[in-house]
Amino acid sequence: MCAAVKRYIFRRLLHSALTLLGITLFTFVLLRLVPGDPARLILPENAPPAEVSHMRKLLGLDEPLYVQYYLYMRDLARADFGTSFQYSVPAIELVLERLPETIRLSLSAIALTVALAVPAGIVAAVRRQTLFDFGAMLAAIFGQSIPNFWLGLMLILLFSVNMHWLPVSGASTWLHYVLPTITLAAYLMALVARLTRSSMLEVLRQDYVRTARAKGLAQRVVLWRHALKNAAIPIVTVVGMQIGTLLGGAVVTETIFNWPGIGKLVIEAIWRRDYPIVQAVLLLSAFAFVAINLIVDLLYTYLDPRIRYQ
Amino acid sequence: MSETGAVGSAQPSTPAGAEREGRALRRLLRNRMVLVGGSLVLAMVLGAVFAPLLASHDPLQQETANRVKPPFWETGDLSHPLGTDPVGRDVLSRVLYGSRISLTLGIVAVLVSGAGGTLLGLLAGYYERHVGDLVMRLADVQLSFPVILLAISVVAVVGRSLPALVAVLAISGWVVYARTVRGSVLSLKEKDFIEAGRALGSGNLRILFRHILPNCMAPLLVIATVQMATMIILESGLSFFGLGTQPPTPSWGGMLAEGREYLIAGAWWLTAFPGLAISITVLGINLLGDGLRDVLDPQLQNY
Repeated sequence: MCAAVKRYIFRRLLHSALTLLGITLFTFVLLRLVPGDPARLILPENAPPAEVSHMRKLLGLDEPLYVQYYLYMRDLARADFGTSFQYSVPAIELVLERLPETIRLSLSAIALTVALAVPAGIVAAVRRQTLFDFGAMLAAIFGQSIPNFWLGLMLILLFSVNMHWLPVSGASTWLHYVLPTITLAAYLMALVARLTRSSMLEVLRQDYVRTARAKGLAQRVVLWRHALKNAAIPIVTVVGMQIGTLLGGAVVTETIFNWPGIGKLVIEAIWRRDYPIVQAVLLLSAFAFVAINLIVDLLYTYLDPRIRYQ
Repeated sequence: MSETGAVGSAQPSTPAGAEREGRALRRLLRNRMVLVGGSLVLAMVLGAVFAPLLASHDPLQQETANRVKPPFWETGDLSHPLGTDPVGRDVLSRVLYGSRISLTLGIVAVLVSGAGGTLLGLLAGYYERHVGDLVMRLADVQLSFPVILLAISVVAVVGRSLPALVAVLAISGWVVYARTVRGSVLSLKEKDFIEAGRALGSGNLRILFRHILPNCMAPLLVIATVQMATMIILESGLSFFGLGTQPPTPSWGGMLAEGREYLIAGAWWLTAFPGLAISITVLGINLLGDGLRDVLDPQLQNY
């Protein structure tokens, strides 16, 4: 590994660390903005003043802000995100318990996107200016314009209320996955289809594609081996950046379909002012975003040596 | 869809006085996406402005005799063309008035986030080392939170006032502007005309705002258009979660949230129409944004 690569990786790691620090600072400040005294939120409403001040001391609220931030960071380092006000168990346990459901739903949405949107984008690029291209891109721009919370409701109306084909809510059988997956994937599919198309159009113009064709390789091989491989980098970058959108979409989708994941958990926690849970979900999702994008970036230095030098 | 733009015949060359703007405008008008999108947006804006003239009812007026009435094609009654809600308010009138909240908040949020993001981007690009690093790290932090989750958490914590809503929307939107402007500044500031301006004695402020900023306007306009769509969806999303403007002021997202409970019971018009209004508005804005991108700035990638 040459010095430039090491420098690049070091800089990316440093940036990620700084971002994580910023994320913790932000959630710390956000929680200090909560109106009212956290000690009173935990204690019953008619708790005597002595008990309140004891609780404040216990929570470290009588310390100066920088000490509070230090304590907060110390707890985070031990994966202690606080105790849920409502359930009186560590917030992290509740989140980890619900996380698999959200991951399952997100993975189905990504699978649907890869299975449908990527091929659609490729075909649209290859058969540019045809009816298929026009139809696919029109569908994509519709997909980007319909808000997911409305799409979910309309899918329920059509397939559950009117036709009785699919269940309205829950997560027990594969049938339960159909509507939430479509709802969650719609925006991503639209984005990926358009990106794949424009990225493929760019790549198909390149000399190495012409060379591959001139060698007499089959269209299939040229497309999948030569073109798509190179077109994949911008697609993967954007998808990496969309992890946040996917998690945000999960919040919406899980609320609509009563899906037992972290999205539904966090919305309920917000309503019940159960801030430790809100904080845990915010932090974990931001950490996941940083980690995934770091991995994606580092993978590039391996896939495409030109990127190392930005 | 970058090739769907006009390929049409070359215009006869105009007299020397004709400006670049004239040509850009004509290309805009020949672009089909701009025309369709622009018409949809214009229709929505007119609907919002003239809501008092177009609406057949007061959006807050409750008619207890006419509760949960379906649209006219199911009843044959034209007095409530798109039906009524569970307290007997006219759905069409509420959709018309609801556009005011969505469009106003969308425009204000785009202006605030656009101004803030542009300023930060200018500074970040011009003062690359310290300001630039700080702004880009802030952008990283902002981008790492899911937008809707961040917005919901902030509004839930600080309370749902109008300034809080605008602030949340602006915080969610500034990064795109800042990153794009920074990129433009980084490449522009090495150009000869900036060097020339400096040689002629222009100060930093003058160079930033008179020489560099005007050259960032094309991508900014495109981003602002696309962001407008994002802001409208985000605002209705917040209302959908009960964190938007206070009822009984009609808003599209709020109507969706209220209507949701009656969906299973079959009162589909309560959710279908406000959602359709959001989708048509956003579709119009997206088409307009795509068309603008094709005409003004073919290099710009999808955001």
